[in-house]
Amino acid sequence: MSLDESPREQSEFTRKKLTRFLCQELLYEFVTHRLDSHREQEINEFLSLDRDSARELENLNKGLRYAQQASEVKISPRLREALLNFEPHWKKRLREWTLWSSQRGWKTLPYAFVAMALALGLFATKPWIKSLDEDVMLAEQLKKEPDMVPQPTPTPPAEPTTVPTVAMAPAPGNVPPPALLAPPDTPSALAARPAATPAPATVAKAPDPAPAPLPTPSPDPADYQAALAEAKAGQMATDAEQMGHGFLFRAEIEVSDFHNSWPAIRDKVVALGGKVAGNVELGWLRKSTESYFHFTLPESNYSEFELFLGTFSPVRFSKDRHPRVMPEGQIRIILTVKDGMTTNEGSSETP
Amino acid sequence: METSLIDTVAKYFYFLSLDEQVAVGTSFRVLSEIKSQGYMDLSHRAQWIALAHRYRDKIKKIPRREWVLSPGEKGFSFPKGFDTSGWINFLNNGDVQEVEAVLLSRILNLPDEEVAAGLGVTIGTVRYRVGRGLRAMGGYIES
Repeated sequence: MSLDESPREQSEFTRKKLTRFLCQELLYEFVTHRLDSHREQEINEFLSLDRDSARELENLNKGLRYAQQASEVKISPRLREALLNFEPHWKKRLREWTLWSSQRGWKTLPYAFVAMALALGLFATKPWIKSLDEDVMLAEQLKKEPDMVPQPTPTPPAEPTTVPTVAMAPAPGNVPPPALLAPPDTPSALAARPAATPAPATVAKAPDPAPAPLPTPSPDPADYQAALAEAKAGQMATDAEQMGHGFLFRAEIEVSDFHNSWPAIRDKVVALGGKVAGNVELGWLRKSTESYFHFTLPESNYSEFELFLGTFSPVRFSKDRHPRVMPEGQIRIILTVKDGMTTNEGSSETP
Repeated sequence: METSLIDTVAKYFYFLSLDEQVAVGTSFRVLSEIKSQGYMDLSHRAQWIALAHRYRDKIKKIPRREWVLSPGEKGFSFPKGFDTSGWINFLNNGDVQEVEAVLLSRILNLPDEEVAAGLGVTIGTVRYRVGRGLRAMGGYIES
């Protein structure tokens, strides 16, 4: 039941005959003196006659007194202060930090900024991961292409520069000048390039994006050799930058007694501390007349190994630059042993 | 923030729960909302009531908060000789709308017009609920 104070409803109530129900419903209005005097008089008279309504009035008065007492409940100042200063926990922390930094942190702010920049830089560059990348990775060998080394980038890198180093082989100096001036190898040509020709003082040049201008051959052999050496030095420097600092030793040897020689070479490699690299076993018979060795060897044993090979036939190692870097004191060698009786077939090529 | 706002909200939830930690936890939540909506001054008492009313049935779900700094400290103190059993009986057995109307109108002494605006009912409805609630509450009080 909704009671409104509008005059229209007031007049409706005044027109209604006062019943017990109506009297009890109007008790709150009665005690708060919101009724007109005529209605109040009616209720007073009714209450004197009706005991139930009088009891309800008594309950109402008790309730009013009780509510009056309850309204005097006090809140402690400390609780009020706690509620007044209420802030979420994170906001309190932030405010404390702001206060701290404003009091003493301004001077350290640049240092904090620099420290953060350093940390960010370290996180971005990850030098520790770079050092891990420089660890040695031995070449992965495929059965079909045993000494094919996967290139680190898809773009055709510079061909490893062949640096003639150790010369046990006879007659160095037979470098054919036209080989230097040959057109750059294509990647497919690189794959088919012989690992080491019997007397390869040379020099398959890498495709150089900006090759040093080579002089045209002059009729004077001395001038031509000087120009050649100069161009070669420039080319090597460029190649060295492109290829990193690793080296790969390649050699090819022809033996007269193939079936006895290659196991002897294998045993010598093992005896000198050589360890197989790649995926094929040491001395893998690529053909019935050709044995393939891909191994690592302590650098200190290199000379002895070279001397040992010299007992079979003259051998010449070529030292190629290679992106893979070996540990200090270790070298990586690819050696092909061929049957000297069938060398003229000339079909075995290492890419 | 208005002191009367804090008292109103805190007492409202204390009388509805009779548990200080529940009252404080809910009051924190409601005061935070009132603050965020910019209803801190007295002219927004109807909004206080409306927001408190929204949380009336949620007080059991809101985490309790321990605010006491020293043991035995009480946040709410009743007048001397006040017997809470009458209110407890009324709270447990009375009509929830009548309990709320009595609380807002007669205990927190908020004007009927603002209570009506806050609860979204007419003034007549507020007075009707208050009258019935007071009579019911008086019946629970042992004289």
